[in-house]
Amino acid sequence: MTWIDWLIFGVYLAGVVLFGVVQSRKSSGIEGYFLGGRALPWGTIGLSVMATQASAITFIGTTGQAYDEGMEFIQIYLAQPLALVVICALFLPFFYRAKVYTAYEFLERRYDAKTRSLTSFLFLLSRGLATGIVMYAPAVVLSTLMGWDETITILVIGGITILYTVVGGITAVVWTDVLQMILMFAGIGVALLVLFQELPSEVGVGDVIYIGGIHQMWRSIDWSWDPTNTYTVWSGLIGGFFMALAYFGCDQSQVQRYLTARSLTHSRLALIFNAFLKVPMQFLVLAIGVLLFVFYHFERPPLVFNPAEAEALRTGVQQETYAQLEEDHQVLHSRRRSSTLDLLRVRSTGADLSIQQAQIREYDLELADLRKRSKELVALDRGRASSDVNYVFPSYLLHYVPTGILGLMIAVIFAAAMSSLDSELTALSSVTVIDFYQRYWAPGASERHYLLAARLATLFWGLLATGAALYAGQLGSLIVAVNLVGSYFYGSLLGVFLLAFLVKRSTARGAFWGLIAGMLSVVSFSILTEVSWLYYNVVGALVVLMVGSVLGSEKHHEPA
Amino acid sequence: MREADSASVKTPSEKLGIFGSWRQLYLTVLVYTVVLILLLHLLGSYLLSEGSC
Repeated sequence: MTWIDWLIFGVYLAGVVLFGVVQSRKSSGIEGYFLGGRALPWGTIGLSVMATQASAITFIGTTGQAYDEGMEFIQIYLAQPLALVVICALFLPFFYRAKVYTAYEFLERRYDAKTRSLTSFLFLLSRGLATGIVMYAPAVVLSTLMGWDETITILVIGGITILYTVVGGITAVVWTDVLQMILMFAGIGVALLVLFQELPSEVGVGDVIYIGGIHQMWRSIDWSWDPTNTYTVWSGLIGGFFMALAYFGCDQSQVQRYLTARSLTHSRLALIFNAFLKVPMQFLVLAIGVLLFVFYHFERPPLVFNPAEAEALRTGVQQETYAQLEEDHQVLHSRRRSSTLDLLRVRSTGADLSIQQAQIREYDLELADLRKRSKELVALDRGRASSDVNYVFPSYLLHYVPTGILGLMIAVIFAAAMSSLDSELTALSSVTVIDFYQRYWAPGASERHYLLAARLATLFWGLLATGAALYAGQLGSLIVAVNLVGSYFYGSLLGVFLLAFLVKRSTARGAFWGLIAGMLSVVSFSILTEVSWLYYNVVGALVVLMVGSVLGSEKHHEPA
Repeated sequence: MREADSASVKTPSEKLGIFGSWRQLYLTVLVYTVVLILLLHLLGSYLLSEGSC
């Protein structure tokens, strides 16, 4: 990194803190701290919703995934617009008119304190430590890019995010999200432009599309009926629909966003804004991955993009096998490069190209096989699955982008990490204070008292997340267990909300036992079947609805 | 009846400029999603046929 890159990165960090602190002056009191005084406009919330969803790993991981497997990942997002419409029409009127601070507070109004506390507790449990991962995963990658120690990177991400979130609450979070989302849009555009510019001069836009097509990288839709495959249009439409409903409708980090709106109309418009923009944005992010695939037809890519993993293989017990793989990779890449350039020359003459295409496809497959084998070697060597997919885009940035752009792109990855982390912190804080502290320990205290409690809770969760990130390597199995609880809980939580909205006769007993039954069903389903994890939310939600409806019909709900 | 129970889930008839009403806007999103899927399918098929003919 040159001084210009550092300058751009420094300006970003200083700008975020200043902007966050200045914007936070617009709100006061506990409603201001957690809900921005319920006065924010839809455009601001819409960008914040988008920034919250776009984590750093989404940004760098999906480009790597597209590099390896093409555009099929986009199918997960196809049902999101439909889910957002359902949330606008069904969920929002309930939340908005109940004037709640948290999604789970609504459940006490509708059912009882037990249901509220169980859902709030599960949210805190699943998200508390998982937030450490939101910080840890990009920090590892960013450390590679910047040459920093992982500890320093984690402390910078955590420290700055904690600073403006503790000081400014949701107002600072939402406005910095806007800044960070605009930066992410700019980053996507710049990355695409730079990639095109780095291609050999004789390769045009049409050629890029053409080369991607040879290896089926542009295939976005898979119509096959295979529930074990996550990346089919049906898995995306069914599983993705329930996943988006659960995430946008029941997760406090998103619900809190649209509760900040100045009216129901503004809440709805913020979500509709996302309904229109999310899929095109994800398409462009994935297109970066496919462009990288094309780019590396002309430049030799590393066989393993993560330098630490590559070095470990070069010096470890697998060094001879890896050396052979690298040699084969060099030869094959050189052949593919020549064949591709020949193909593009012949293409302009209009001649039959099927033989050349078949040859390049063969090289593509052989190179993909070498990469797969190298990942298996990494897994064998390090005792865990390779995370190389997260290093494809950063490795390109490090070696090919011009001065200044690297600083901008690092700022973009930081922005993506921080915009997700700040939302998690303020969501965790609001649930801690509103659903537990105010509810059980200090009801009826002063505004000032709650505001102090809110700031301390944000600080606590920020420090816990930073601590979890610092020790993420050692906490591996614990974090896996916590993430599992989260995945079992998500669909069932959605089921409880659907039960509350759709089944008028449902009772607190039905909701509580429905939630337990839903979670147990998802655990059994995940153990006994090979069906994609995308369907877990479908199972959880439907079981809660069924159990809740049956138990609810036994004894009618007593009106308050 | 509790406060939360009283929230209406009916699609509001509020006017939204060029989008007409909420109902029309929701319908627009539905059509948009179908068109998006078809476009992605057609784009993928076209680009694949370009690269594999």
